[in-house]
Amino acid sequence: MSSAAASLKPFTSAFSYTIRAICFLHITHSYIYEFTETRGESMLPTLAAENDYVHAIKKYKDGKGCQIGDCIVAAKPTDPSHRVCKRITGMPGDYILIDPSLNAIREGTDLDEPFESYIQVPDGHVWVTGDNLSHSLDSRTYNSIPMGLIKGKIVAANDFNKPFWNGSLTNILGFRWIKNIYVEESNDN
Amino acid sequence: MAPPTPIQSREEVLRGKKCLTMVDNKKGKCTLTSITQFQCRFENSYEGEYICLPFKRLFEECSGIRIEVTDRFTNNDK
Amino acid sequence: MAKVNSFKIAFITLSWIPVMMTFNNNVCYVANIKGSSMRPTLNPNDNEISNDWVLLWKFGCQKSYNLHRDDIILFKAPSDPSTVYCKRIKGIQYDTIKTKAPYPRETVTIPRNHLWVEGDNVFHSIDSNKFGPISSGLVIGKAVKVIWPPSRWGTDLKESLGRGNVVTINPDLS
Repeated sequence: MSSAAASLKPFTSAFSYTIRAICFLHITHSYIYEFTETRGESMLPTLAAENDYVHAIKKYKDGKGCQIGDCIVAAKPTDPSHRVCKRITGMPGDYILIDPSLNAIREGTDLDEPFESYIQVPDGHVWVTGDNLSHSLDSRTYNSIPMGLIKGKIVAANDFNKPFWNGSLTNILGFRWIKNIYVEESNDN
Repeated sequence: MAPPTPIQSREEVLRGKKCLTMVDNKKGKCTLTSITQFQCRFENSYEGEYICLPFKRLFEECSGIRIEVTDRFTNNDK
Repeated sequence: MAKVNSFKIAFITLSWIPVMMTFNNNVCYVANIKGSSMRPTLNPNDNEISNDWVLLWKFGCQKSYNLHRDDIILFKAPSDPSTVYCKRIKGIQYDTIKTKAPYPRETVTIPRNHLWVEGDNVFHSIDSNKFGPISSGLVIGKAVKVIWPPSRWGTDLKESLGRGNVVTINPDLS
């Protein structure tokens, strides 16, 4: 009986190591850090349409510590198994325009029309838009998203389309920091 | 889906903001801030080349309340 | 020699923590139910000490084929992701629901991968009639069995004691 148990030992111990390693990676991936590819033109020119890999920090899960102007990864409300990368352009309580980029150039419409429709972002939700307003399916279509769907904040990206050495050490494989673009306007007028 | 929220007009929003800032008269200081996004179109779809034009959105932050104040002159110098 | 051994034991113990965490997050866990919005199905007494504990099944809980009408789910509140609500699913994707005050419209059609949730305690529940349909991405797990107190082990969680006839047009039947 003990010899049968002894012959099983390498299998059980390999299984035990494997399961521990997989779970460790899974927990790191969920709670700490994720490096993943993005596809799509909705975040041009910040993120390339393909082969751009983002570094996402999971400390910002559920929108903790997220601010207006941050780039986030979230689950799509109508398809939570898919992720989207968007920028937060409205925090809870803000009054924002639904779509100021809408070109209301149709006969008989007021040029001011896109600048008239306001919405107040509800508690616990954020308004997200892609940086490429012309080609992005975002809150302008599916309304603000609950912060519970936010998976992490994008802090940097590597563009694998770029060559490995791009002139400096901080630019290996097209590395760049993805910054918060909410800035104060200087009153020059 | 977000909770049901009504669409408000610019006048309603600015009127509401006036009431709030009147109550909070000591802190009448407002900051003007902006986020610049883009509108991109493809020039040469074979090469995947595109041109992006910046689109600025202006916000006014008064005593903790943020209101978007983009209008048709923000990205149009006329 | 003894020091190396205790390091080794500590390391091995620590290395099992991610496995436990993965199990708790992705397979099943237990949850303590607070509040009276699911009365009388859950927490039928006012006593804090006798709050129900349920077995929370997490595996595949966000997939639409696993979420059925009359399931009891726990989910992140839309108004505050750090709060967890426990309610019963009354409508699934594509159903048309007859709403109740304070919802501003009489009927609403539920979008893809969204759910309409209501508490069994009709008079004392903050649910979809306030915040609208919720994305299944907010679901944390399904309550399948009451595990504490032992006197409530036999509770049938499938018996819905809330509003009936909530769904007006059921696409499966047409």
